[in-house]
Amino acid sequence: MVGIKRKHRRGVQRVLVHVVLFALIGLIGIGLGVAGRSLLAQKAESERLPARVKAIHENTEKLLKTALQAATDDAKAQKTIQTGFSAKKKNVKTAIEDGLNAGNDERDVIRAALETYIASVDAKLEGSDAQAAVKAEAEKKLDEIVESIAGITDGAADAITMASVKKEMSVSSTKNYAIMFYWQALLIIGAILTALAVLLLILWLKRDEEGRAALGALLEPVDYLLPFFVGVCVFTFYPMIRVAVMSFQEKYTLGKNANASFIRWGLGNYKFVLFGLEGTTNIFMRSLRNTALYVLLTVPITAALSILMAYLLNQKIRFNGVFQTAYFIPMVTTATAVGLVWRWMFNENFGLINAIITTFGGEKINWLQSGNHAVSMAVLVIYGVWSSLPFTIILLLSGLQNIDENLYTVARVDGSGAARIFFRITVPLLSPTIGLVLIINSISAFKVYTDVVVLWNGTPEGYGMETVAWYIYNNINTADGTHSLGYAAAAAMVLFLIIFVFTMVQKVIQRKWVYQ
Amino acid sequence: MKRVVLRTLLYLLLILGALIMVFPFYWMIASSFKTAAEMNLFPPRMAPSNWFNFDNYVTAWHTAPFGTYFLNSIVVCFCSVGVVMFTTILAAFAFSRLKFPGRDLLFTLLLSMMMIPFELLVITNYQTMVKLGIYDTLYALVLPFTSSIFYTYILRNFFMSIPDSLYYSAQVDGSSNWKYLWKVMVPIARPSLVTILLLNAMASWNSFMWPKLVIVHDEFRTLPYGLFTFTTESGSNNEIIMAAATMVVLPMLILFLFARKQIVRGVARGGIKG
Repeated sequence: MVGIKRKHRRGVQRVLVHVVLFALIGLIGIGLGVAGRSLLAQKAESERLPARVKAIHENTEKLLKTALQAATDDAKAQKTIQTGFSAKKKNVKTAIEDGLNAGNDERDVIRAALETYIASVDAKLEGSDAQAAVKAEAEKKLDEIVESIAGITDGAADAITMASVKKEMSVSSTKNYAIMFYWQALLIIGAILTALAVLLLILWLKRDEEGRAALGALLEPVDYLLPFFVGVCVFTFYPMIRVAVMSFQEKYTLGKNANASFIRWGLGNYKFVLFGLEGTTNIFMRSLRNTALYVLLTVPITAALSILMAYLLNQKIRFNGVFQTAYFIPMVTTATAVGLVWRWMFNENFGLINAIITTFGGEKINWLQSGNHAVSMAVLVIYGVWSSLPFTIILLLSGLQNIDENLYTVARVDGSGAARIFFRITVPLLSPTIGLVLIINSISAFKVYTDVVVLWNGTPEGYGMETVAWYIYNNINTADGTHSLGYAAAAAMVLFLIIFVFTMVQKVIQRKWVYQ
Repeated sequence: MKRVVLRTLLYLLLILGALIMVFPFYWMIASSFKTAAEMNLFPPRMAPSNWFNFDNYVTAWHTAPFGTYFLNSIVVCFCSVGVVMFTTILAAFAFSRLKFPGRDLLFTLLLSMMMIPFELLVITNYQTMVKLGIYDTLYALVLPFTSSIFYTYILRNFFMSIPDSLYYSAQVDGSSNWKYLWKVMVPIARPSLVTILLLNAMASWNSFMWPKLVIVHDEFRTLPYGLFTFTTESGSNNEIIMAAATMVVLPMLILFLFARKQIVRGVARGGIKG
């Protein structure tokens, strides 16, 4: 009875706490969103003035010069007009800047700039035949040019909107980039939370004690799930959707200022990834072939060796702990470090493996640097098998330990030999685990990346040893500093499809092979 | 007689296998104590002439800021593991003990998201890091890894196995869910939590692709990535690389020797590759 009452009180309090919390976070969100928007607006405003100055400066010279030079046929006079403009170009720019900064009327500023040029040209043409005609032309066209430049300038200023500023701004040199970039999202999230707070408050006011407690109970799971879901939504769910969409945005790239752009919607990324460009090697297909070959070789070899080793480890042996430690050590160790050790062991001139080969009368083999695909693949497979053995043995060993001891006893009483027991009892009963291991190892082998990067010193592409995961990473951050995310997205979707098929197969297998 | 032969064969095979698995580590450590001249002997000698020749370690330590890498790795590992444990415990509790509409549907949805390869998520996460302005900082190494569906799944399964009667008696005593979670469930689930903690710490400590993608400056590199750039950029000799590799591997080796049982159990139960 006491407990229930306490529970009620907690439920009631919980609602109020949430009202305050939601309102607080919501208002902060709105505040940041508004701040981001006004910063963006400020930035746009501050960029409009320079744009106006530039438009006036460029067009006064261009339009007036064409008009004046058209007034005379004399080539020499035309050249002299040019020098008249060049002489004043700098002064005019400062004058325009000062004029606009002082808040003068734009047309007056333009007119002043034009008049400066005219005076300068007039002075240069002093004594020339063309002087009078040019002067007359200048006076005639002055108003017309002022009007057309004013039009152009307004257009240039109008082209600078918040959207265009957002697109052009650089992440590295813009302060508060994040809130400026995400101001809409911040506003929306803030508004939703604030609305929720208001809604909760209204509900709380309307309900009686019982209802308030029920409301509190409804809110409780939200608290427990929220921290978890923030991460899942932002870094798993959103990327999942975004990448699927991105794979259809042709040539989606992240530019120098971290501004993303794409050409159009379509299947272009897939076309590029799957078929390549005409006349060039299709790197993705080569990566896929390498990866598939790696999976086909590594996974069965690993499984066969692991079954043997797990079987041996499952016997009644002394020093079980020592053996287990030895077999499982490679699992915990950093792949980069261990890869470097293998690279050293495969060294052509001083490596241990070549030493063993020459001891038995063989020739030294250039394992890593020869570019011979079969040899390179052999190295990768040997290393791959070695590093996935521990994990596979652990799973199989635990599968073996689940087999009922009595089955063995019965078989032994029947007089079955060890080989017969192994193939008739152990392997069939272990088959669910074997199936599971094959699938998990295939999926993880399809993602092979660190191994090739470390073995080939960061440049597997130099030896034809690209893999699918390498292809994705390489497109995210290419050597020339561009980020072809669209291609990476298409490649990742293909990888996902492969993994999806394997997972489905696993589901079917698991349903079929139930432990007896 | 046949039994003795079989036993001998069994042990011979086991020892051979164990040697193959452990040998690269021996070779790494042995090479790290060799001099440059010894490294260039062919065929190589099995052991260095002086097991206390720490010159290579000193050289490696001075060539690249391994101290900084080490510190970064520790900071990232601690933050990431701490936050993940917190979010995982709360979410696993909600999915196992609290009742709310759509709970099982939501959980199935989450499980199906587990097959999305990290390689796919990376593309947008990379862009998010850039847009948030935390590209090339330690935040970028922690922030995307604050919650894990996989660990939540493991822990939720364990929480499910804790009998309901415990919960109802705590309810009658007037204990809140919050108190019940931390005072009863978490202590009971300690073995599972240790497993998750170890798997997570290993994954964080050994992660290579993500740091390689989002970290540029030396001062923010973690150990595996720092080691990699050390070998590609400085072009050091193999004995020095082996010394550096030993420094990177050693903490995990020590951890494994102490927590082998928990790690093995975690891998067997979770079925993920380290």
